[in-house]
Amino acid sequence: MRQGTTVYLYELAWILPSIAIPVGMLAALVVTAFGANIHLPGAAGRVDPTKVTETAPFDALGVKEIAPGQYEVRMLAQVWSFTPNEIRVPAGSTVHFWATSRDVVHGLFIPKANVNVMLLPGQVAHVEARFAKPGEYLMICHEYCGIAHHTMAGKVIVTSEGGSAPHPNLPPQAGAGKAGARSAAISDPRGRELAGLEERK
Amino acid sequence: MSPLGASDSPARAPASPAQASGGRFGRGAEPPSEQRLASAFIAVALVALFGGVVTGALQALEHAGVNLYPWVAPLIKSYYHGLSLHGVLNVLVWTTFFICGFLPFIAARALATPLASPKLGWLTFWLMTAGLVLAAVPLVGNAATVMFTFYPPLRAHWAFYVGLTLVVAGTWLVTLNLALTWRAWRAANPGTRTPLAAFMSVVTFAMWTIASLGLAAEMLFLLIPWSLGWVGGTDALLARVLFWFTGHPIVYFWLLPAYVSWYTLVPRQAGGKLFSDPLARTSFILFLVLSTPLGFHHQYTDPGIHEGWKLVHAFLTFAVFFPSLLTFFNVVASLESGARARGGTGWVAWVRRLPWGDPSVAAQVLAMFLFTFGGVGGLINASYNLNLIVHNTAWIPGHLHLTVGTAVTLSFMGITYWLVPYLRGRALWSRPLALAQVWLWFVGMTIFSHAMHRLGMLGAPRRTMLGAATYVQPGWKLLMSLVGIGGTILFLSSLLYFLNIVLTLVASRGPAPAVPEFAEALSGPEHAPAVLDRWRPWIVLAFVLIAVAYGPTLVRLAATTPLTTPGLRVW
Repeated sequence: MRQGTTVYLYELAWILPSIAIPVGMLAALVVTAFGANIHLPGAAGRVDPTKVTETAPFDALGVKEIAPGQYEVRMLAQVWSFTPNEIRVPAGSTVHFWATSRDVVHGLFIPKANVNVMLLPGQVAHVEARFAKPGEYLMICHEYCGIAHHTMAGKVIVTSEGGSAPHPNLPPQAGAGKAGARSAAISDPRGRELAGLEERK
Repeated sequence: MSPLGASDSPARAPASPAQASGGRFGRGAEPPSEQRLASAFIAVALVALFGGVVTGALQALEHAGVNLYPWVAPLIKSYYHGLSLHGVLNVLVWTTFFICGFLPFIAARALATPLASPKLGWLTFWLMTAGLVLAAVPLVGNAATVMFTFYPPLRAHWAFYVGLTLVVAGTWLVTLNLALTWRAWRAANPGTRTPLAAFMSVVTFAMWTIASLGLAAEMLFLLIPWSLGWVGGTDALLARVLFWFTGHPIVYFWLLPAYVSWYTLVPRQAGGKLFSDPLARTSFILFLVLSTPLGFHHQYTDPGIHEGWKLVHAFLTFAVFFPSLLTFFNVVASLESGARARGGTGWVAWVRRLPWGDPSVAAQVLAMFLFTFGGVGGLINASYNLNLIVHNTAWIPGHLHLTVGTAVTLSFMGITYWLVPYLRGRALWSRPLALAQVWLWFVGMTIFSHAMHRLGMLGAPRRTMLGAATYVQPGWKLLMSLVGIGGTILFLSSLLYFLNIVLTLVASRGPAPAVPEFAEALSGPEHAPAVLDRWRPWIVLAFVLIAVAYGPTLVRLAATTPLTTPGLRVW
C-alpha cells in the first residue's frame, strides 16, 4: 500500500492544478469577453428563406447611415457573392450588419474587423463592428458553398475623408437595444427570439 | 500493493471451455473469430486511409500552386470533390472501422472472454461495409460533394445519407456486442474490477452511442426524407445543432481508442508501468459524462442560438479539459516510469531513454507530443471570444490534423505496427522503414499544421481552393508553399507506411510478434472507488447534463422551425 499512497499524493498534486488551470482560463475568458464587450451572434429572428427578398430588412439591401457614425448594412449572401459586395463607410464608423443567405450556408468573415458569423438560410444574423482605420477590409465567405466558393469575396472600403467620429452624445440605439435583449436572452431564451421576430416583421 | 496489474487480475482465468486448453488467445491455435473480425475491419480502414492521403496530397499541392486536378479529372472532378473524399475517408471511415476492429479485439483480450456473439460481429461488419459502399457510390460519383459535415441545404444523393446512417447503426451493434461480452464476463467474475482496457473500450462505445443520437436524428428526421423528396424542405440551423451534438464527441470517439493504447499498452511497451489505474478510470468516466453537452462551441458564430447557452457550452468544454489534463499527467508519468527503469535520469532527459527504436512506441510518443499542441489549440477554439479570430479559418484544419490527423492517426499507425503483423502471423517487414515513416509524419505534420494555423490567423478561410482564390494576400504565399511541402512529406510518409504494411502481408518471412501485454499499474484497480465500475449512475448523469445543455434550445428549435429550405446542388 505504501507505493499506492505515494501515487495518491502525486495524483492530488496534479489534480488540484488541473482544476485550477481551466477555472482560471474560464475566468480570464469571461472577463475579457464581457469586459471588452465582445459578443457572439445571438438569436435575431427567422426569415423565410424562400421569400427573403420580399421580407424586411432584406427587401432593401445596401448601406444606410442611421445615426452619425452609425451605419446599417442589409446584406444577402448567395452563390457566389454578397449583395452589397462593396461597402463604403468613413473611418471610425460602427457598422451594424443584418445578413442572411438566400440559398446554401455561407459565412461573413472580415478578418481585420473581427467579424465572423455564419449566414444560414432561415436565420437573421446580426453583428456589429467598428472600422477605426481607413483602408480596404477583405470580406470573405468562409464556409464551403459550392464549386466557386473560393471566388466569393467582397470588401469594406473605409475612407478617411469626411470621416465623422461616433457622436459621444448619441449612444447608438441599436446597441442599447442589444444590451437589453442580451440580458433577456440569459433570463428567458425564448423571449428574445420572439421579440426579434416581431421586430423584423 | 499487489504486484498484479490489470492484465494479471483474476479475470485472466479461463472464462469459457473454448479457452480452457489454450488459456488465452494466441497464435498456433485456430485463430479465433475476434482475430478475423479485427482483420476485416482494419483492412477496410486501411483502404479508406489510402484514399484519404492521396486526395490530401492533391489539396496540399494545390495550395502550393501545383494544380494536379486536371490530371485526375476522370476520377476526381474538382478540388471540392477531392476534399469531400479526403474528409469522409479519413475522419469517418478510417477512424470508425479501425476502432470497431481494434476495441472489441482488445476488450476480449483484456476480459479473456470471447466476444458474446461473433455472428453479431460479422453482421455488424457487413452492415457497416454495405453502408459504406452505398455512401461511397454517390461520393465517388461527385453526387455527394458536401464535405464530411454535409450541412444542408447542400443536398447530396440520398444514398450518401442512408449509407452513413447504416455505418452509425453498425457501431451501435458493436456497443451491444461489447455490453453483452462484459455482462458474460461479469457473471463469471462477480466482485472483480473490470480490467482497464475492457472498461475503457466499453466506456468509449457507451459514450459514442449516446453522442451519435444527434446525428441519427439529423439523418432520420431531416436529411433522409428530404433527400428522397418525401418532404419539401429542411432547416440549416436545426441540422447543424443535431450534427454538432455528435460532431464534438465524435472526436473523443476517435481519440479514446488511442488513449486505450496509451494507457494500457504503451507503458509496458516502454518498459514501465501505468502510473495510476484509478485516475485512468476517473478520466474515462468523465469523458463519458462530459463529451456531449458542449457542441455549441462549434456554433459560436451561428445565428439563432442564444449567447447564454453558448457560454454554458463554453464552460462545459473547459470542464472536459480536466480529464484531458489527467490523461496527460498519467500517460507521461507512465512513460517516465518506463524510461527510468531503462536507466533514464533527470527532469526531462529521461525522454531519451524511451525505446525509440520501436516504431510502435515512437509513433505513439510523437503523436502524444504533437497532441499537446492540438490540445492547446483546442482550448483557443473553445474560448468563446477568441474563437471569432479562428472560426472556419485554415487554423481549424491545422488543429484537426494535430488531433485526428496525428494523435489518432499516428497512434493507430503505431498500433498497426504490432497488430497487423500479429494478425497476419508474420513479422513487420521493416522496422527501419517504419521508424522513417513515423519521423517523416512528425516532421511533415509539424510543417503543415504550423503553416495552416498561421494562415488561419492571417484570415485564410478553411475548405477553400486557395490556389485559385481571388483574394490571396501577400502574407499567405509563403505559408501556402509550406502547406504544400508539409503535405508532400506526409504523403511520402504514408507511402512508406502502406509499402511496409503491404510487404508485411505478402513478403515478410519472420515470425509473428506477440501482442503487447497489458501494463501493470503502480496504483492498481483495487485503489479505485467501486462506483467507477458501475454504469447506470454515469449514463444517467450524462443524459441529465445533455438535457440541461441542449434541452431548451432543441425543444425551441424543433417546435418553432418550419422545414422550408429547399436543397441545392451547387458543385
